[in-house]
Amino acid sequence: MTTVPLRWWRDVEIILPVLLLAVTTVYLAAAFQVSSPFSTDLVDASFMPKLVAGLMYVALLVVLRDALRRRRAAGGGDGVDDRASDLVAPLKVVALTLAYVAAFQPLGYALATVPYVFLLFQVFRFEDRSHLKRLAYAVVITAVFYGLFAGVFNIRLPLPEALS
Amino acid sequence: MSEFAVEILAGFGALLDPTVMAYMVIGFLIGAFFGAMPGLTAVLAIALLLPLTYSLDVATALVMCASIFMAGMYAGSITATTINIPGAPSSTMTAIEGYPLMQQGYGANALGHAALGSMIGGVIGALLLILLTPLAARASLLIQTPGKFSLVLFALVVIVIAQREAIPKGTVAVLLGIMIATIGVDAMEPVARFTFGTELLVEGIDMMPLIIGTFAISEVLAQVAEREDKRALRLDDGSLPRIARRDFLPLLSEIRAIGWVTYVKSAVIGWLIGVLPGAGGSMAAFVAYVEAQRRSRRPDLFGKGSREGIAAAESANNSMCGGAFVPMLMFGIPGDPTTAVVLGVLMINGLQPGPRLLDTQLELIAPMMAALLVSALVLIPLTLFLFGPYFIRIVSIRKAPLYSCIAVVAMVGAYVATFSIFQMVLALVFGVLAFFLRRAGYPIVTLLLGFLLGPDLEQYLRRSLSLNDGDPTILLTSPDSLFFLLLTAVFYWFMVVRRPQLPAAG
Repeated sequence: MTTVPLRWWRDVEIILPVLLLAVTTVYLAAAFQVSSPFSTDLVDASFMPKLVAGLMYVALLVVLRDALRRRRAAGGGDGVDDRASDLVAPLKVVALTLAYVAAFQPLGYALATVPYVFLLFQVFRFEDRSHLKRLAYAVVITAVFYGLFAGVFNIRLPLPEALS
Repeated sequence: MSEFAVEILAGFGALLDPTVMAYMVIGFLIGAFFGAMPGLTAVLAIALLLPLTYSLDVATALVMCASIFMAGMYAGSITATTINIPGAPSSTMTAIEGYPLMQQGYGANALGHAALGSMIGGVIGALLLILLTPLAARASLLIQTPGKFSLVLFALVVIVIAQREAIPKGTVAVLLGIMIATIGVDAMEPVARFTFGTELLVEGIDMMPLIIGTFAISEVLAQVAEREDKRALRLDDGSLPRIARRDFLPLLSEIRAIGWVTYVKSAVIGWLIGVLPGAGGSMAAFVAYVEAQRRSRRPDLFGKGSREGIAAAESANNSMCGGAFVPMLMFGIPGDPTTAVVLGVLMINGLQPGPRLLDTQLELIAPMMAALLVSALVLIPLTLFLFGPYFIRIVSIRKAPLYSCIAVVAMVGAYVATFSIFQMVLALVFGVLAFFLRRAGYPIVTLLLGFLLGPDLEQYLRRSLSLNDGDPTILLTSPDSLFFLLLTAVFYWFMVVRRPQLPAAG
């Protein structure tokens, strides 16, 4: 596996706790806005969120300190393998899944699932298969799970909006 | 005969219903497939089936979960032995002994010993669960509100410190889970929290998209992120061993050499480790393996193909299944990741864990306990006998169709739970979050346990403090609370300060 220097903002070990610190800050700010109309106690609905946010800050700072120490020990960012390029395929899957979610009700289960599975095959590099065979596999998988959900478990899956 | 015993017997009777039996067998086969396939786990199998439990009878759904759990724990030994890749982390010790036997030409024999150990351990674990659950129920009645808080805190601390190398990250994940659980209307006051002006969040975050996202979607993303050379594990047909069914039968002389003490002791060790929150099958297998090596008359064989090592590891990890159910059923505290998802099945179906579960809904729980025992006693040896020669081919399944299927089941499953597109979006969001957490070395199971236990932790803490005018010393003056706080300190001492050399929890 190749090792190339990663800038801190591409190092998931650094960027993740930083993002979580930001999330915790938003969470804590929202916790201060929680008002309990029936409670005058200290132990109201905002008590636990404030406590958890405080603990989260401490834990995240420890994680961040450890990550920075590891970076420093590895020589300012060296030694972290080049995993950023591995994100292309997962991002494609996320984009495909978002499109699938958007198309699920308007197109219905079958019309949304066949292209979703077909394109997932592409992302997973389903080798040694022609496009036609991949399409056939996608249709079979869609049909099998339709049978499972609708046939075996009697769950109604969406039809195309134009038909319903 | 006590009412409990009658209900348990009725639970065995329920398994004779053809529908229930069919779901138990299907569950076992699904669990065996997911357990044997490296990268797939029993937790993932149950997470994918979670949405379907809505359309199943609760008892049937729990029976299916139990058989998946038992099969998943056993089936990890198959690829551990045949190709030296444990199908599940709990089978790592089996790989150390099974694979050398495979290389020596005794692969089928090693699989037979793994199945025998799994069968004995699974049966002992299920029996201990059935026998000791009423005692645990009585003990749980003694715990007051401050004690319940300290018990949940103990569970969360043990779950985090079981992560060993990732304790700060485990803490972050568990706190993140608690934060997610606080979204929605507060359980004690009619106050909406963290809804950010949207009605979609008023009812809080549903368990379903969280479980599907963290276990299924994140797995699909993790698999597609792997480099191309790892994408498809294909075996050259010429390298596949030819195995006859009779080869699976362990010789009586070998079983005598292992000795019944090894089986029973390993099973008891595994069961006790199962009771501990978050410890899991790999720790059970490791501790039993080390103990078996320490007491063995042939310690020199360990690492070179010891059948005794296989027996100890497999007895322990399958016995762990029974142990993990005790804290889940009686306190709502899962003993391992799989029981955490099974707890989700209980809660989705409106069952509240606790001692009252045995009083009021034992008829729903008893078939699950019976299914654990039957899966271990009958289905493990039967599956090995029928499908053993074909098990090896499981790993030659291509990733593209497999993970595409998982993606479809996961997304459609998230939808069918409430017929809501929002749940699909949430599943994807949690999947992406879990993917990056996993990538950075955060244990995602602690996130799930934080989410599941967070509401109890909050309620018990707030009630304890409210009853005592906000004075936290109630946690130290209440004997049951003090007991669990001291227990937490003891565990912290032995697992962190004087840390043993154990593998990471799985």
